[in-house]
Amino acid sequence: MPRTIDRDMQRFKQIVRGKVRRNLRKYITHGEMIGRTGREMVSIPVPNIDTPRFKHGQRGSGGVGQGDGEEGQPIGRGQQEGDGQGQAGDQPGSHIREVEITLDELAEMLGDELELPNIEPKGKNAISSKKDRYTTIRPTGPDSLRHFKRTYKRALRRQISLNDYNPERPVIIPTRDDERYRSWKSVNEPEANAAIIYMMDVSGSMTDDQKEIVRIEAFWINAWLNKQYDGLERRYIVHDAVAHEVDEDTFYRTRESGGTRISSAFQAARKIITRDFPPDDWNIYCFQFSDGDNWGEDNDSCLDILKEHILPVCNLYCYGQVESPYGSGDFIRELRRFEDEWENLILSEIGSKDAIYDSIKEFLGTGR
Amino acid sequence: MSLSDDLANELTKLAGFASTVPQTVAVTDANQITLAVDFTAVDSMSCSFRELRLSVSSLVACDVDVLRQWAQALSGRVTYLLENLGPVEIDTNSGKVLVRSTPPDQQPDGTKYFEVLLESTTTGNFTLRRYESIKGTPGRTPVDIQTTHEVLLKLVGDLIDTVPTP
Repeated sequence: MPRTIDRDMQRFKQIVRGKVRRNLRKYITHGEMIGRTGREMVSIPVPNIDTPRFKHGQRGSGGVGQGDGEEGQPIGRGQQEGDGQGQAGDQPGSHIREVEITLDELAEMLGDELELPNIEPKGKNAISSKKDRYTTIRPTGPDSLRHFKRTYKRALRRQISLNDYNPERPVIIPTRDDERYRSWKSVNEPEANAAIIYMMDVSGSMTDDQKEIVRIEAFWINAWLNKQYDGLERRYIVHDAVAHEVDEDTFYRTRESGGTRISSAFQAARKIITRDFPPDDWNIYCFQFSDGDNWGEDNDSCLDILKEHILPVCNLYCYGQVESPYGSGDFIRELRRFEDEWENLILSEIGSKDAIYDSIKEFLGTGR
Repeated sequence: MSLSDDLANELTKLAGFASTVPQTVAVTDANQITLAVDFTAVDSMSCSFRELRLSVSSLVACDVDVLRQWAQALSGRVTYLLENLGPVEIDTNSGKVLVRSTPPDQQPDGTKYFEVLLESTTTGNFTLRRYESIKGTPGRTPVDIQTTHEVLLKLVGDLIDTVPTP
């Protein structure tokens, strides 16, 4: 039977999650949450939730609806309002409560909020991996895996059968033979594997604000795809006129000043796919972010690589064009020319942080 | 005669010209530096042009650091246009430096900015244009640059003065 406090705890969690869900759009567009990510949990600041309560007013200050009145009698005026003599407070404000939510829960909220369809993976069962499941019991093992309940039960059973058990003084002493340990079985489990390749333009025209937009959007895309797939591999490419495969940290922090050649990123992505992710077995997602200010003569090479080597093997190729101060990126216009020919080509213009929400929906709303 | 003097003479000759099809005026000095301006309108005091090019034969195939040096010198000197200029992108592989208005002129309905491309791969080492981008519409369109004769001649003088020696 659940204890009252457990029910209260559950109720509290529901209220907090409801708050998070209602404000999800705000959390999506603000990057502060990303810095609060642990391995599996995210801390989210929510306003304090107060229980409503009655407060006593000042004696004799009157009020509304007290005593008998007559028709037409004006309601008494309350205290005079006016300029007070108070000063600005010097005390700290009310504290913000932080709640911890798993990334899975957060992804689920995102899916509900944006009405994202679940993804139907390809290549399912094509890849299996061995996983250890602690489902068996053995008479030997390390102390850290000792099963106390089983050990106790065996000792109890032995003492009772040997008439060693005294209910007045119930001391149970397990012997070596009583000890039982948890053990594992290796099982083959089919997996739907997914690879995400992020590409970001870090040329001189991409500002820190634009990269912040990319960072926030990539976080949410990750959260959603992580929930959809067992094995999620990520690769990061940064490029100006030359592309480099980098780790996640470098991806978000690099600032270059070179020219923009998007084709270099496509070449690098193609190389990664060939090397690491056979398209028959992997669900491949490419997300590219740029201000679209590609050096003119490079557009043709980009489109060739995209059509011949990337679009045919990807579940999705998503291009997000973040608006630069010059507002002149025209790469998205080049892509729009053949948008209708490829179902897996998704284009999104991200004017500001507020547009991230809709952009995620555009990217992930296809269920591919 | 300097390039500025030659250009001043051409401007006098072109006074009253106005057309949607630009008319190119090209002048070359003794150092084989060629200046070409695509004018769309000229009157007695001011002019409107689509593009200004300066070809410096000594800079063909020069190191990108030389172009970078030129970009910085230009950005420090040309401070009398509608916006200040600054290097934005430097492409060492293709030997190009992109200089733009920093910051661009941002209006509620869009953005306008100057763009200078310095190249060492072709003979067109310097190209100046002005672009306009409209909010919500990807891409940009070139727009005419309007200056007084005095500003244009000063600009040409500053370009020549800042040309680096490779």
